[in-house]
Order: sequence, then C-alpha cells, then structure tokens
Amino acid sequence: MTALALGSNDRFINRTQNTGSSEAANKIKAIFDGAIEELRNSLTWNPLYELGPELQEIIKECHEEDWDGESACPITQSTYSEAFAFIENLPIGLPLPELVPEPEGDIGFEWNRGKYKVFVASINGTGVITYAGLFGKNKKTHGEEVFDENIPQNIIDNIRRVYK
Amino acid sequence: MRIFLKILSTIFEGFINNKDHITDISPDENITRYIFNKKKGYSEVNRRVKYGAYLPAPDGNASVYRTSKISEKEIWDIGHKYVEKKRKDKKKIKARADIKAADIYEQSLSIIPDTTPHKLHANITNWPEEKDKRLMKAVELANSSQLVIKG
Repeated sequence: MTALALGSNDRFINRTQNTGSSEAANKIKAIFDGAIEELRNSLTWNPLYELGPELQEIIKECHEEDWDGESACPITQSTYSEAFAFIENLPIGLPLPELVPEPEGDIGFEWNRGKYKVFVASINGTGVITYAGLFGKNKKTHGEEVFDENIPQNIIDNIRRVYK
Repeated sequence: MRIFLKILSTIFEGFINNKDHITDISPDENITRYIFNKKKGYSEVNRRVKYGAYLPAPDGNASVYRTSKISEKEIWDIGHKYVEKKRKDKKKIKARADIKAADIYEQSLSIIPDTTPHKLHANITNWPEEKDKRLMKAVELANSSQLVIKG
C-alpha cells in the first residue's frame, strides 16, 4: 500500500511519514523528501530553522545589562518570545532578515539589498513593531504597527519593496 | 605687570591652540564609530555597516571620534587605548564605521565634542524621542557609512 502523510502545519514540513511498505511508497517518499530539500535550499522555507539558533545566540549574549559595553539594556524573555513569534509568522518565500540586537534591549530584523534598499522592523516584547525603510534617496517610511499573532500587511509589503 | 601679561598670554595661547577641539565640527570632517559586536554593528558577508552600529546608548549618545587629521594606524590606536581598554568585558574592536560629519548633520543630529577620554572624542546627540525616527536616522547613517574591518 502507498501512503504518505504531511504534517498538519505547512510551515513545518520537515519530515514525512511513510506508512507504506511497497517499493512505490518508498520511491514517492524519496521524491518528496528530495523536493522538500530542494525547496529549502531555494526558498525561505522554515525561517525558524535558519534563524532560531541565531536568536538563541543573541539572547545568550545580550541577556545581561551592558552587553555592548555602552550600557545597553538586557534583552528580556518577553522580547525573545515575541521575536520567536515574529520569525515563526514570516510568510513562506520571503527572504530571511539579519537579526540585530539593539541597545535598548529590542531585537531588530533587517532586510538589506545594498544602498537605499533597506527595511528594518524592531520588536520589544510589548506587541508593537517599530519600522523604518529606505527605498531610494528621498524615499523613506517609518512608523509603528500592532503585532498580534500575524505580521501586519504593511510590514510584509515593505519587506517585499526591498526586493522589487 | 609684565608677569601678569605673560600669564595672560600663556592662558590665551593655550586657548587658541585647543581651539579645534572646542569649536563646531566641520561637515567635511571624518567621523569614526568603533564596532565591537558583529551582530549589532556590521555584516561581514555584505561588507556593510548595520543600523545597530549607530543606535544611541540609553543615555542618548552615540560615542564617536574625529579622525580627519590622523593616520589609519592612529585611528586604530585610539580605539585600542581609549575605547577597547576602557571596557570591563575585555572585548576587542572588530571593525569601524567611517562617515562624513555632513551625513550626520543631514539627519538633523548634532556632533558635540566631548574631550574625555580623548581630545578627539565626540558624541552624536539630539536623537528624537520617537523610536521609529531614531531607527530611520540610524538606517540613514549606516547607509552613508564605510565599513572598515580590522585586519
């Protein structure tokens, strides 16, 4: 019998369950696993897979006061949790940001494609995303959005603008 | 009287000689910000300064040095003696961001000389209260900067 099941959460397709035992089932599994691997290599598939370890490194390095030698505030557990949720909610297919610990204890996400193609979203554990973007010499945007479960469309649009 | 004039002249001469450290910083001057933390300050792969390098400390200042009139070696020496050695965590300078004072003024920020611990030390001040505006200015400063990684 040929049986192949995907996990329920499409963000975390990281393994398939092969309950079949036939040659066909094994072939399908191999093809599927190969396709997932290819997808992972070509797209931002599971942002947490890529950014999770970096986020953990940041909290380890920046959880105490003065972590930057210039009196920086510590990054708190609530900021860490919110950063985790932000990464988890990044839409599939968006390029991955670089993580930036900030002196006031916030965590920033930076998408940068060179001069005048930059967007930064910063969170601080209070349900607010502060953002700033530079898309040309005099083309800039900045402001705040509420972060509750989903990343606001305005933030997604600005990230996409960096790669247009 | 002659002694009094000599004392006065010595004081006045000292004032003149130190003039360039207490007057306004010219837009043409090179300004350097030392970077210790790679995640906060720069991207090695893309050879660029990150906005985090310029975000001010909680006291509202971003500490910088005026580096127009000194050599490359002196720039690193100042960083080593007056910035690196002052740190409790013994972290080393990894890179620096160089920028023209004009690019800082363009963001309506000020550069105020603060000759402690060194006569070329200054602070970028006058950051706005609102976080989004601070972020925007830090992004613009990073965009105008040159990254120099320590060899």
